[in-house]
Amino acid sequence: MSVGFRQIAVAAIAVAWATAAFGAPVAGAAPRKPTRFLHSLTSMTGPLTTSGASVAFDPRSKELLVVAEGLVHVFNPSGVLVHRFGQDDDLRRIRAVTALDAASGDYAVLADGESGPELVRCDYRGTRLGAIALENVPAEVGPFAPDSVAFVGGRLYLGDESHRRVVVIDVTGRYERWFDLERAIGTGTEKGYVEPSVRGLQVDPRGNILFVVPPLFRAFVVAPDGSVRSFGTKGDTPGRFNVVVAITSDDLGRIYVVDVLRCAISVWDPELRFVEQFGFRGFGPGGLVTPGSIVAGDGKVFVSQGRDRGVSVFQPGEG
Amino acid sequence: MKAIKLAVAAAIALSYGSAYAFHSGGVAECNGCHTMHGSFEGVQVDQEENPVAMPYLTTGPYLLKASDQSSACLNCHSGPTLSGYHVLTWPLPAVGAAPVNFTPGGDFAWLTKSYSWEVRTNTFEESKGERKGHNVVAADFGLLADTTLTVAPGGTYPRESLHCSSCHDPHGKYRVLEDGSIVDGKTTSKPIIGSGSYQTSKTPTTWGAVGAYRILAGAGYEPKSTTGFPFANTVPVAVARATYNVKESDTVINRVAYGSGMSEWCANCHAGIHLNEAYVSGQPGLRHPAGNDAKLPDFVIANYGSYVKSGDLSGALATSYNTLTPFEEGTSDLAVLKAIQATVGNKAGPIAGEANVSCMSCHRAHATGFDSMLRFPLSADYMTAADAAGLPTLGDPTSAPGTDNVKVAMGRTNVELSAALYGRTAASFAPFQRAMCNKCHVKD
Repeated sequence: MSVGFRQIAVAAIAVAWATAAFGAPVAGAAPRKPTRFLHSLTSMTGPLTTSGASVAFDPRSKELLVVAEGLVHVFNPSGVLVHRFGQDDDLRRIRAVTALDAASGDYAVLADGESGPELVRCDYRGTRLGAIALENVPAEVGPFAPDSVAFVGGRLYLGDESHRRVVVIDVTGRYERWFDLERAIGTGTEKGYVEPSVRGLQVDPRGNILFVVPPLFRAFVVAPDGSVRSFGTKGDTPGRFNVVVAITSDDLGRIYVVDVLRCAISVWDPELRFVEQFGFRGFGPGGLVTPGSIVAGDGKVFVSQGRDRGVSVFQPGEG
Repeated sequence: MKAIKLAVAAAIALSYGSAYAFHSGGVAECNGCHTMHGSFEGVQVDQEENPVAMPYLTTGPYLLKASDQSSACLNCHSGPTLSGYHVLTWPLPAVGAAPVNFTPGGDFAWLTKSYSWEVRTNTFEESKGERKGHNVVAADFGLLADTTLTVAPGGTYPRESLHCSSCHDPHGKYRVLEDGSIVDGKTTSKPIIGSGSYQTSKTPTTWGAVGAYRILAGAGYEPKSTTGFPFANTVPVAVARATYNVKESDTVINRVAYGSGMSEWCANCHAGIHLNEAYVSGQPGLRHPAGNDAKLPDFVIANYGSYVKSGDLSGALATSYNTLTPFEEGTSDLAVLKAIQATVGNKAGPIAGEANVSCMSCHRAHATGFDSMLRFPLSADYMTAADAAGLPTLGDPTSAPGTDNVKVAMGRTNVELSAALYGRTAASFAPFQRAMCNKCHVKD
């Protein structure tokens, strides 16, 4: 069978892409094992069909918490729905959830209160245990309406993407410190009408604050000491950003950045060097459509999607 | 405790401190929307069949990086928080929660908000999501074609083809020249030097044009995906504040200085429900006038100036502008419109002989919290109820069936109703406030 020009060209392009995506092979080194798709989250009646859900990981039980339509859906380590809460008057329209200390087994959730978002402590069933009211927040913090919450190192990190702030409190609500993300970004608008919108705000287990700024094509890592690192370059090829909307990191410190325009996830090592890219626009296994929220835990990466595609689970690459 | 001050190197700020204005009044970077090599020698690269080939280049129609035209736009123009360029709250808001964007055109997430309420025991009224705006098809974001209206009301534009690109020219070819004329790129050699939509926008020069308002499509436009419906009328003239996605309040407004041509432009698709000729009161068969020639008569100017709320006619013309009932200034002069916008929250009222009613006087272009994409509710007797002290309220959807509280709420939480009114509370209105038609007509 003859090999035509087209096959050769496709192969050449594929090799070029693979080199760009995974790096040039090193003589004698074991080939890198790329990230692979495992499965989608499911219930007893079929695959999860949420659109645009947000995901959080519970390291205590290795469960995944999926917030969609104002409810928290709890999935066991096998990816099967085991519990759901938020559908009664105890907690209204839950926006975000985080697992608190292992001893209590409780959650902290951001829900709609009478006059805005309310931080509530609840047990594993979703039974309200009480509000966590913010105390002694200094006036210099300015307007603050949290839309995310993370429990890290015994503290609660409340994120406000609209006002580009993170406020840190203890579990009783007592203020400890705050981060001004606008200063981290280094604002300044060329044409005066695009503000540096923050997306995908997360806090990793080491206390680093992660977020992306789509109009700047950049991802940011703010360390607990306030130092800022950022990375990202506009472009279409692996290792560059189109429209980045979410970010997370895993136990090894690798960072994952979601690009909704390219339907791909780029992986970066702790030194912010590009490692690989996974995902592609498509409806088959491993394909992504409108990827959004992302979280890593228990050796897996969970990616939420639009178009009723629920949450896909990937196994990170090695090597 | 002292707040932590972030250590930010000046070099970092300088290197990426400039936010990104993607369209800049014209065609943007091609690869922002298209993937160039999603095909190879005329054959689409399909990841599922050919996994070794270029997986990151799989394409939608027209080499778009999405399933359809509108989804391509919403990849950027959607998000969870209020942001300058977001026109869709994404993820879609949960039941009882409100969309978060307040652009003058409105938040498309209202298209997914359906309500029902018990006006009498066991008698329900309904407000379907799809009645709240233009049902653009954006499958990746859960926005579907209208299930009721198969074509544009007053026209024949098909529902399946309604995309952002039905109204906005994604390539932004229409431009405003120095003499104020609006042309496409075929009829002039002048390049677009920037957006023309804002108070801070550049001014056209002898050698350069500015982009048409909101890169809207003009005369002769046909999206590539839907031919056979060429636009007869050109782009409207208007100027917005540079920061235009703003939540209003009972005292602060976010005005768009609508200039001229909006109704005529809407008539590109809705010609059958448009009337720009002289309106003769009392004559049957006519439609509410709207258009450049539909000047506000003196009695309407007087009403507009004095009307504050039901039963309160103590207003002054100089501070009477209400974004729930805007008007066109009756000019296509960008300098005049920019001057209006020079004052934040300018509430100057209509000028006799110049201002005219337009489609935008009652509707928003994208979507609203109310049926027929109206700026204010029209399906209840009252916009507000009253508490025991006689103070206005936005009702209560959980009250007993048939009560004023339920009728006013129309199934919406107070948070949703306030958002639908762009941040206003009941304090903006009288108790038992009647429809905002009365801003011009004062029948209450």
